[in-house]
Formats: sequence, C-alpha cells, structure tokens
Amino acid sequence: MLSFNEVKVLIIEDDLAIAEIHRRNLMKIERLNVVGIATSQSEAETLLDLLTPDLILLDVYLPDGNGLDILRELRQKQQQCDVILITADRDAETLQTAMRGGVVDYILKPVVFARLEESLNKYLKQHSKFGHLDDLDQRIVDAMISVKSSSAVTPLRLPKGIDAVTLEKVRELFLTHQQITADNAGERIGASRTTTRRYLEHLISTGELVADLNYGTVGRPERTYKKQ
Amino acid sequence: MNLKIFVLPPYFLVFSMFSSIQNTILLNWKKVSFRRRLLLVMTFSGLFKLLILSIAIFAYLINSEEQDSGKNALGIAKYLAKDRDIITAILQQDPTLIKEKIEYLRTSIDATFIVVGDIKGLRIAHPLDQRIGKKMKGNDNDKALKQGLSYISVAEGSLGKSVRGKTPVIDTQGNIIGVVSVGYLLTSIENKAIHFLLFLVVMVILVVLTNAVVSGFTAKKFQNAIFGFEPEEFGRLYTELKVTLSTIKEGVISIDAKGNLKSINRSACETFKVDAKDVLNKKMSVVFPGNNLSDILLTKTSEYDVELMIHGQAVVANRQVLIVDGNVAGAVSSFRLKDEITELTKRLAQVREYSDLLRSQTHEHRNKLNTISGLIHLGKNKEVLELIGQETQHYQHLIQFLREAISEPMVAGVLLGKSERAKELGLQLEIDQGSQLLKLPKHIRAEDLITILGNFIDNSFDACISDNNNKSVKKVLVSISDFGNEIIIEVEDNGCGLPKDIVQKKLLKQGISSKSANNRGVGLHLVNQIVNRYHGQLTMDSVADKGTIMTVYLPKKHSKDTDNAII
Repeated sequence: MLSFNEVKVLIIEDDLAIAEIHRRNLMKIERLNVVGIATSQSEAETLLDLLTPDLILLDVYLPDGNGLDILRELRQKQQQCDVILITADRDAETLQTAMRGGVVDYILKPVVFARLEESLNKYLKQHSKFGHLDDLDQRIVDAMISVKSSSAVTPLRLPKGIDAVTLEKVRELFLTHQQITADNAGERIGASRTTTRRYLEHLISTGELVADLNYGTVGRPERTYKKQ
Repeated sequence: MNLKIFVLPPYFLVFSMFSSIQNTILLNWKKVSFRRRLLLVMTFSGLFKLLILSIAIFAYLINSEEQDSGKNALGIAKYLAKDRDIITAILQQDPTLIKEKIEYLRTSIDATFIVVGDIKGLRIAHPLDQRIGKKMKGNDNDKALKQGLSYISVAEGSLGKSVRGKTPVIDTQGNIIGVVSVGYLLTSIENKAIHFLLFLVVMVILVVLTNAVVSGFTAKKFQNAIFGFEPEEFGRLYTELKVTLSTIKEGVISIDAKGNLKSINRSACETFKVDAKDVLNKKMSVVFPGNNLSDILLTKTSEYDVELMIHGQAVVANRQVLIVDGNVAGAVSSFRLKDEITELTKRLAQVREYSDLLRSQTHEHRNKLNTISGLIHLGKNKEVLELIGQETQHYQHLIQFLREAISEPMVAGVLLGKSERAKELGLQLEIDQGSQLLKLPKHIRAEDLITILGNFIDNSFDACISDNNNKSVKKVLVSISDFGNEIIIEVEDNGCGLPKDIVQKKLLKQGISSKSANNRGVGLHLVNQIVNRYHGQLTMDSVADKGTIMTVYLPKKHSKDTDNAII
C-alpha cells in the first residue's frame, strides 16, 4: 500500500462526524493516505509527533485550543508539513495568521467537496514536482510561488495583471500626448481608470514614464503621466 | 490678618512656655502646628543664645575690670614707693608720719586699701589702725620683698578677696626696705557689673519678643507658600505624588516657567529611554527637541489629545499650564505611546465588528437552513449543494484574491473585515482585481497603510449611507497599486460627496467636525499626517451627490527625514 509518492494526511477536526466525512472523501483521491484523526489540540500534538504527516487538514476551532496555535507551533518547530486551513471563521485575524503561517489553502466551511478536491489535487501536483526534482530551477520556483515572482521583473516577462496588448496601447498614447491622466488614458483605450493606472504605473517602474501632481484646470491636483 | 500676627505671638509665647512644654515637646512634637513649632524653636534658641552671650559678656567685663583695677593699683603703688615720707616712715617704723596722707589718697582713688609693709611684711600703714604692726596677709609679698618685682596679684587679704598692685620700696642705697600694696576688693567690681546684668536681661526679653513676632510672621508667610500644609503633610504629599507618578502607565513630564524640565516619571523615562538624572533641570527644548511644551507657557492654553513625535516616538499628549497666583509657573504634559492607543482602539473596533458580524450571520444562517430543508424536502440535492457552495463562494474568492495579491497580512485583514462590514451595511465593497501590494519597503509601516485604508473606507461607507439619492448600487471601490515607484491607495465611492463650501485643506487639517460627536472626525487629519511623514501626496476629488475619490501616493524610496519629521 505504501508507495514512494504517498502523502500522509492528518485530519484535525473537533467534530468526529465531519472528520469521518473528510476521511472518506480523501480516500477517494489517489496517493492520499489519511493516517490519523485528531479531535483536540493535545491529541493533535501527539499525533503530529508520532505520524509526521505531510499535510494537515486543520480546523480552527478545537475544544481545548486553537488550530492557529498548532499552525504557529509547527512553524516554530520548523516541522516539514503543509497545512490546508478549514474554518468557518471569516475574521481578518484568522486570515492574517494563516497568511503569516504560510498555509497551502484556506477553505471556508461549509466545505463543498469539489472545492476541497480541487485544492488537494493542486497540492498533489506541486508535491509531486518537488518529489521528482532534486534541483529546482527558477522557472519552477516562479511557477510555484506565482504571485511573488512579479516583484523580480525581468524586462521580457510582464508581471501579473499586465498584458502586452494593453501595454502597447498605453504606450501608443504617448505618441500623441505630451502628458495624460489615468482617467483620460482610460477613456482612450477603453479601460477603467484603475486598470489604466496599473499600466501607467508599470511603465514608471520600467523607467519609461514619470508622474507628477499637477494642479489642473479645475483647481484640484491631478496625477499626470509623461514621457521620461 | 496683620492684627492677628501681632497679637498672637505674645499669647503663643506664654502658651508655649507654660502649658505646652511638657506634653508636646517630647511626644507630640509633630502634632504641634508648624507656626507654633517655629515659634518655640525660635524663642528657645534665641533665649539660649542670648544666655550664652550674656554670660560671656559678664565674664569678660569682670575680667577686664579686674585688669583695669589691678593696673590702677600697681601705678599708685609704684608712685607711693618713691614717696620720701613713706621711705622715712618705714625706716623709722613710724606709722603716724604717713597715716593721714595715705588715708586721704585711698578715699580719693576709691581703693579698698593701701598697705605699706616693712621688709618683714609687718604693716606700717593700713586702713584699719588696729592692724598696723601686724603681719600682712595674702602671702604674695615675696616677689616684691625678695626679688624686687612690681606685679598685680589676686589674693585673699585681711579685708577679703582683692586684686592688688604690689611694688617694693627701695631706699637711697638701693636696698629693699618694704612693700606698698594697693588693692580693690573684688566684690566691689562685681557690684558694678550687676547693674549691667540687669540691663542685659531686659534686652534678652526684648529680643525674644521680637523673635516671636518675626517667627510668627515668617511661619505664616511660609505656610501660605505651601498652601497651609504642615511640613510633614507636605512631605507626605510630595512622596505620594512621586509614587503616584511612578505607578501610572502614562508618561508625565513637567517644566517650570523657564522651560526647564522639573520632573519626569518612570514611564516617561522608559518611553524615551533616558535616565531621569541626565535630563532633569535641563532645557526641555534641548533634551526633547520636537516637544514644544514650552510654547504653551506663552499661549497659556491647555491642549488635549495632541499628537507629537518625540525622540522618534509617536505619542498622544495632554498638556496643561500650571497657574499659581495668576502667574504661569510651568506646564505639565502627560502622554501615551500612540501605538498603545491605536492597539486598544483596534481591538475594540474588532470586537465590535465581530459581534455585529455574529448577529447578522445568525440571521442569515437561519434563512439558509430554512431553504436547504425545503430543497431536501423536494429532493433537489444538486440545488442544495449549489446553495451551500454559494454560501462561501464570494468569500472564498475574496480570500483567494487577497492571499495572492496582497502580501501584507494586516492590509489583507482590513480589506476582508471591511468587505464583511459592507455586506452588513447593504453596501458593495469591490476590490479592484488588478490590485497588488507586495512586500512593503522597510520604512513603510503596515499600520499606517491600515490607518489610511480604514479611514478612507469608513468615510466612504458614511458617504454612501448618508446619500439620499436612490442609487441602485451603493458602491465603494478600493484599488491598491505598487506597480510604479509609489504605493497608490485609492478609495472611490458613489456616495453623497462633499458640499462645495468645505475647503479641502481645512478638512485635512481638522477632519470632519460633524463626526466629532461619534469620537471620529480625526481620520483625515491622521491620514494627512501619515502622508506628510512619508513625503507622499494626498488628493481628494469630490463632487456633491456624485461621490468622492481619495487617493494617496506614498514613495517606495526611503527619504531620510521620514524618521525625524514632527507630525
């Protein structure tokens, strides 16, 4: 039964009925092996030590503690373990802690299995990539940490949210205009102000444009963009 | 009041001398009022000093009288020793020759006695006739008769203790043939001094009375200066003040009228990381530049909830002028780190938001359960699953988006909280899907972005709620961009906008005063301060009944003044 690429999953969920449903659903997915179910924080801590799971389905509410505490502890101990947070919480703090703790996914209760399945499959795909490769090359890292890559802009690659066609349209505006506001530019290329501004700001970061605060015709300051 | 001062001291003097001495001095000294104590101390110390002085003067006088009398006596003795009649009288052993002459001399110089003795010390002349021919008393003739010296001596003679001048009598051949002794009884000198002593006593009483008046007056003056407190009470109050200041969490500093730092409590020392000893009694403007506490000495107006930047710490301060007798005597400032207050306010807001959320969720939840039970009843399983999926769909998307686009958890948290809030208010909060906020530059604090975002969004909510035109969708659009060299935060709403008569600059400075009743209205002011601190820009575009766009631009590059800028 134990295959090389098997992923050991621990379910931490205070409601045994829900945990059991999760378990049955997870069994349907290949390569996932539910190795344990913990219904309290203390139980979870023991099982984490004993079973060293690769993945945890972590509920936030536990009778004797908080799933977020378990997450923090995991990170402190630097245990090699991924977490999918499952919670009914909709408050900002939970999200913040989850983001800081670097969770793989954040799934809201009530859980629709399709959503969970999607998340797990995505996880398995990444996991197998890691499993097969000894050396990671930059492309794979970038693909995995999709958002973070945009900060390291290579001249050829465009960041997320910037597409080449629109960018060219925006560039063309400056052939006919000395300076232009985001509002104006938006009207001309048929996009919203915020979208257009995104492109204009991108062009500032590449050094093509500069922005200035102008006291325009109406008397209130407007940000205008012009060529460097 | 003056009358009282001059009437009371004699009364106090009598009182303190007779009735209160035994029962107060030892046991209840501290219970005696300060005025009475000062009076007692002054009176007794005055009395004691004068007593010592009198004794010294008296002793000195007696001594100098003795000296003077001795010198006189010796002079006369020397003169008489040269007298031919006396030499003859000694040689012939005949007292009658000089009796009258000497007696006359004695009475005229007021001496007690003039005695002439021969070489054996037998008297040739003496004020009392019956003692003539007898041996002289005092045993102090040897130096004159044997060594031929002239001298002053004090000795017990036949007439009593006296100071005497003695000189030998020498005949024409140079032989010592006798002695002349002129003396004054000491009692007669003391009698003279007694008169002086009486005078002294009168003076002492006068001085003590003056003392009483002065001490009474001084004590009153002094107590007025310390608000009528007894010294022990005052000491206790002072200690109490010190302890109170050290126990409170607020930092407290005070300055005097010249702007010197006069006190600083433990909390303030900890906040600014200074040692009290190093800063006390130094100019405030030197020790804590940026704190313009000295300014309120001139304006004489107290200030509350002022935000300041001192020693790189943002604080919220209350400052009050000290007025004593109508004059400015200094100023006191109490303050708290702004972060503490912000933290508390944030917590409170979160708790409030949470309880609101729970309420609306419970309600929604019941309705949904109702629908689900209905659908199951009708056997529509697929619809049930869809409905449950919908429940989380919007939120799940939002979280997904925030996790991917916004790297700063606190900013993501605020956006999440505000969009929940918008739902409850029946508004729509849309976050521009092209928004992006990667890791913040080091010098930009996430808290500041939250202040900006939170205030803008809250203002937009207010604007949407108070908008009376029936717009189909009341919408707030948030857009965050860090694509360029600046972080751009923009919040747009289609709410009521601002009336034309409100001047933008004034608004940013003071906030919206109409909100001050709800403990708000400082939001824009705070935002403006933050923008200034980062050398950023803030623009506002508002049209009445159409809506408002607020935009903030914060440079990503760190400018050095940012840290020291005074908000």
